[in-house]
Amino acid sequence: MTEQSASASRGSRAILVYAVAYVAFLYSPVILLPLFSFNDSVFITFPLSGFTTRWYREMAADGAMHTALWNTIKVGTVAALGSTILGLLAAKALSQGRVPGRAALLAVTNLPLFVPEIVLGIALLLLVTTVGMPLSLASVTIGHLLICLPFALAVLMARFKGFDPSLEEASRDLGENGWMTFWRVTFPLMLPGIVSSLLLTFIVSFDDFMIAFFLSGTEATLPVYIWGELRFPARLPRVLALGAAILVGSALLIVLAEWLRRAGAGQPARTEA
Amino acid sequence: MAGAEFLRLEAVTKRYGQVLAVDNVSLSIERGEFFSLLGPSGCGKTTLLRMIGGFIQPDGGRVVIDGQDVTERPPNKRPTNTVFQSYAIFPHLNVRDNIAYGLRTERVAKTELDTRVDQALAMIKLEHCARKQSNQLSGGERQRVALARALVKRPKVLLLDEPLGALDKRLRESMQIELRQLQREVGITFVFVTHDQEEALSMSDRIAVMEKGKVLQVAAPKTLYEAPSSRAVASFIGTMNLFEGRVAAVSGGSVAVETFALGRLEAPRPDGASPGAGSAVLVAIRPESLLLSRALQGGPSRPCRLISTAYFGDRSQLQVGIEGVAAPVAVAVAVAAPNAGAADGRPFAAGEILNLSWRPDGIVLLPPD
Repeated sequence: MTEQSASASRGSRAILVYAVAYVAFLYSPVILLPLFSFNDSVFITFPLSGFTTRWYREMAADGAMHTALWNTIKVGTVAALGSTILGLLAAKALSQGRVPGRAALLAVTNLPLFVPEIVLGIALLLLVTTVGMPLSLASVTIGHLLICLPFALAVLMARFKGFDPSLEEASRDLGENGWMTFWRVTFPLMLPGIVSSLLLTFIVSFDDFMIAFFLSGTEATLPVYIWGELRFPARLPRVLALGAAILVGSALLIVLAEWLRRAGAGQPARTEA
Repeated sequence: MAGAEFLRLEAVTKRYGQVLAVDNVSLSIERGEFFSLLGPSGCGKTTLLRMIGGFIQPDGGRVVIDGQDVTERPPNKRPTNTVFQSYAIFPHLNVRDNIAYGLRTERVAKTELDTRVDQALAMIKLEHCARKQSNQLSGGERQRVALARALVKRPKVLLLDEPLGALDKRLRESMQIELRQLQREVGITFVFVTHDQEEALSMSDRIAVMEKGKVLQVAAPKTLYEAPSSRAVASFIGTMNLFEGRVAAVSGGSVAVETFALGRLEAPRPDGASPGAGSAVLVAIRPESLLLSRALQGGPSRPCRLISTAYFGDRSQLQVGIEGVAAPVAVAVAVAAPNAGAADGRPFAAGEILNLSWRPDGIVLLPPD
């Protein structure tokens, strides 16, 4: 008995050590970012030389950076909305309808997940120039739609798996047409999945460098802009400041989304107006 | 309320690939009737119900409700409402909003809507659950909410797809009574799908027995039980003993049949065309029309050997073997009124040789198949 519990506590201590090491490995790079963004030196080295908010002030004054950030948000928003809407339609058809060649269709939609992005980027570049489309945010958005769709589809298909199709039938039976049935039954029940899909696809788009690098032309998105800035060491700290700001922003976004999701799940749905 | 034809199916057919799910079915259901579609799973009863509700388009035939051809209409344009097998209670709405769902689509004025929802809640005795979510309800409560949600729309026909299948036996039995009572009160035509023959017999005004996409017989429960029209119906409803025989003579109100198992016996002449002398027939006898005794009774009887006894509380069912007959014969013994022979207080023992006799009016002649 005692031997067993001793070995059990030794085991749980090992797991604790592993867990701490794991979290440290995951988050120490992330900690470095805000740390150096407040460091009063152009050089990213220890020891730290003092506290400053200079990099944040520089960041706030950097017009080109703002344009790049704004470009990324625009592209991300359109790509997230577009891929989520397309994903919703496809997920509904694939999980509820009788679609011939369902497996093949799914495999084709998931292909962008497995093709290396650099290949995808070159292929898209060829396509865009062949059809004579100028390289712009529009071409980036199209590329992002392509890489976001598998993510949207995966999230929404999972949500549809637990969706009882007789709920939609019940709505039709009670007198609603197809569109109102979607609006009153399918949409509210799919909402958590839709929110997850929007967040995930926005992040995929926000994060993407390769596709944007090939397709953005003169209108850089943030990752492309940052990559360009790395050539100038003096501008690196303000990139760190930007990174820290994005980190805080995305953390807030995730907390907000989770809070919304819980509020929606826990509380009884609206009573009559 | 019952009377004129209200819901008519004309030669309705539905095919899935090579399988005929519903094969040229014509039915006529009366206003205010409690009508059941009864059959084993895969017999096409649910497909038929879904075609009445508009969820499945028939490949051929027409669906007419109250004089209007609704064959081409979607579910939301039909005067029918459905209680689904899974109940399909909207999980994002509370009980009250579930019931009000269909009234909101009709743009019913708020005061009327409130009154009708309140009435519906009172009808199912769930006033105290109005604000509950569906996941806080028991199976029986969900079933009632589904019922109220459909009935509050005042449909011309209510369709019920095995609504009691998911409930345990006790609850199911009390819901059967409740449902039947409710149907009488509201006077709406019910079309009820079930695979449970006892349920169908105890609740329905009439039953359509289905098998392999076809309707075998449509009749009142009593007729179905006492005068089934075919071997399939006879063996699906309750227990039925079947013996092959040949008509020896037809005279007035009775038919003499020569059987191997029971020898020569007299059966009441079936309604309609009587089988001619010399033709093959099936002799069908319910267990409760068979009698077992130790002593020889007057009238025809047959020696048999008791194989086993199954005790059901209110009655027992005994299996006996007749020499030369492969299938055992079932004999029902009601405990309250024991069979002759058991009346001496000594129960029959397995292996005992007994006399099997029958009530002549309990014999039904069926066409051979």
